[in-house]
Amino acid sequence: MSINDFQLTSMVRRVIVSLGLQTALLDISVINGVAYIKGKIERQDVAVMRIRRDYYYSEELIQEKLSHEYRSTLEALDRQIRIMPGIRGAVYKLKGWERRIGKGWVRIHGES
Amino acid sequence: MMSENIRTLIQSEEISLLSREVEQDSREAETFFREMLKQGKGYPDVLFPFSVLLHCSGRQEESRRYMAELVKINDHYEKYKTARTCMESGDRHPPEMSGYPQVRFLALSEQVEKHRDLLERSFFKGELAGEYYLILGRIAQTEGRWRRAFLYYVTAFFASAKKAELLLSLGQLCYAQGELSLAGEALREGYSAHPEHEKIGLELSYVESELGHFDRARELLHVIFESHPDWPDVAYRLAEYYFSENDVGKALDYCEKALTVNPRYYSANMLKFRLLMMKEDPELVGEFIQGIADDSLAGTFRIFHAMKKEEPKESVFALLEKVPGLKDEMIEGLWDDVVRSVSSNYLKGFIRFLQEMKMITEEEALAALKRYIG
Repeated sequence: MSINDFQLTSMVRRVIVSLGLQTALLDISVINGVAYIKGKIERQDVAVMRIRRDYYYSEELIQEKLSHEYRSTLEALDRQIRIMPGIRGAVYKLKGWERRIGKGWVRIHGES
Repeated sequence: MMSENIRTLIQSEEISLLSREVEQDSREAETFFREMLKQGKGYPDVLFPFSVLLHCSGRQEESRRYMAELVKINDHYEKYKTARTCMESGDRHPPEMSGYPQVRFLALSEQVEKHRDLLERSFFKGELAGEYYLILGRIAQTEGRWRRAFLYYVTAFFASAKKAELLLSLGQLCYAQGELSLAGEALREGYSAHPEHEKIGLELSYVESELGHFDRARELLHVIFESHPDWPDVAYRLAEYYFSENDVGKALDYCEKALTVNPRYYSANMLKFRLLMMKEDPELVGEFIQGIADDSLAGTFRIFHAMKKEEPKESVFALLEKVPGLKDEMIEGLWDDVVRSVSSNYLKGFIRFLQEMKMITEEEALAALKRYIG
């Protein structure tokens, strides 16, 4: 039996869970082989909290380190989704982040 | 491998090591939750683990203050009220030996029994102690310390004899690591003992669907939906299931149920649009688009609807200009299923028109013609 959207949505959700992202903040689905992920990307783990704790003296540094951390997570997310058999594309509508062709993940200012 | 990580039998030495490091893990967890509180993340629910940590670290007064704040905000949640009562009474109600339910998964009952004396000497017992070790386990899990998370979950079971919480936590631990058959084993045992536990049921439905057990996943979702018609995610999962089964009517029905609870539900709107396009009833599609709360989504759907109705190319072009990014998504093939529902003749002319208007290059036009017209 070929992999259907119902099954693919579970697979995408599992990738999101495994990356430590909060599924409650995301709307996740796969329709006709295209993954749709909308909402807010947030990790509530020790690594993220440590950044906030260790660089408490500079909001700019915190944002820089967090952006780096989240960018790596988003790259892993996109990579893992796209290699799934049955997935032919992914659409992200994420608060504060945009995936641009040739540029990868870009933080959108003015959105947290 | 995660399976080796948790299948390995528990050793006395690691229980002793864990008991020596609880204090350190607890201090780090406290810093973590304090930071979350400072940032307002997860408020007010974050007050629960924070308060439990403080209580089990001996700071009863402070912990009661936070728990009282939480109960004041969430006075309908039984778990919080019970925790407050436990804190006030000193949580002196450890489970009796005879009160432990049997856990077959990884023969955990036998493993706990084997180390009972050591566990008794090394850890607290009681309702809050159970919560405490669960919290430390979850923190260890976010750090990728799987074995430690596993040991904390087992300790939590020893402390409060809660089988459902143990199996849910272990199921989630295995699931996050992609160990689906192990996750299924843990969650199935948890669900058969506590079919009323919706979190286990929902988690299990994801595992079953990924394992290809679609009927089982559907049954679970129906059971949860019966008790929670107000959970739009469950209604949407059922819509997805029926869509995958080509049952357009039922898929539409569950999409509507999800949208009744949350009209801005992105996935449900996306799926409903496709389902209506399949029904070939332009009026129905038009009404649906009219009612969408999200302007950007409505704008996107209006373009495809106009193409399907073969409206003048100039007006579709004007609509397309208002939705930046859609052109790239179409070129990437992300809207193929919808584009293919438009007549070939119209599409051919429209692609050429886009090229004339310099919205797409000649190369892109040729690629689009090859893709949709052949």
